[in-house]
Amino acid sequence: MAFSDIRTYSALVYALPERYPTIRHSTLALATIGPTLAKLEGRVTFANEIVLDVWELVDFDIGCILNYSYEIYRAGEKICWYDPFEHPHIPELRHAQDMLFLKRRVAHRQHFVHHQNLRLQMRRHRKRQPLTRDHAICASSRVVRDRVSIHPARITFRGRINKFFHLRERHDFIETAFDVYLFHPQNRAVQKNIFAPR
Amino acid sequence: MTLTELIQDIHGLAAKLTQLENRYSLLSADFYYLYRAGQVEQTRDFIQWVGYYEAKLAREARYRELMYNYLRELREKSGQGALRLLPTAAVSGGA
Repeated sequence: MAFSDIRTYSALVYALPERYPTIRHSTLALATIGPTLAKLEGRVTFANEIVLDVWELVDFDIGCILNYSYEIYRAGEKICWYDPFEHPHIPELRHAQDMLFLKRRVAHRQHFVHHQNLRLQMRRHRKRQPLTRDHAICASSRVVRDRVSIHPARITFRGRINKFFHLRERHDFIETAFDVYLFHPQNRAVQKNIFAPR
Repeated sequence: MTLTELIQDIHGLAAKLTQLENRYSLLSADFYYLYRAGQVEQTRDFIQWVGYYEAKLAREARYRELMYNYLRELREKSGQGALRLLPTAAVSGGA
């Protein structure tokens, strides 16, 4: 389902708590800036003190998100985020302006990867895969993670987010926050020989 | 998108930018130069600032494109005389 008008987008945003029972509270609010521009801002609070802080600048004329910032907090601590901010002084991030730093990629640690540590995870020898425009511009957190795996060292994320206007993918940032919640072992179903940390 | 819509978008973005410019005592063009040079830290305010500024630049570029077409039409209608600009309601949908 695709949509490209403020009314439809508002309906989607304000229905999120009903659609996702894991959402305890949402302050997301869509405010118009002009006839074809709006900003989405607010926080979505999940169970177990997981909070997703959202800001989007949405262009309804061309049906894309022009700019965005998503931050996920647990117990007040920022644990992952992504946005298109440039980092020209960090070689690995110079062109990789949109990355999601997930704790799940770091074994035996309880903290998410920091910018400076990420370089240890990047492989420069890999050949870059050709990216189509559709591939290069997508804010789906899952796709962003896939993108990181496609080309960890040099990925140009600069661009607009057209795919955000597909309803299914639009919910990925909610799922990302929920993934973080589930990744915490205490919140998952019991698995054999796996114990939750104390 | 009409010229009117573009202008309203630009004004809305300008209002957002004015708030940030006043808050940080820096004009957006100067901030953006620093951002492109990697001289500013990554904060929510600055991410928004970049977003609003780039959107405004894009809207202004689109405005100029439509405005030139609109003026060209007016020139053709006016011939050698003065351009006959009409109130918004009279040109809405045409620009």
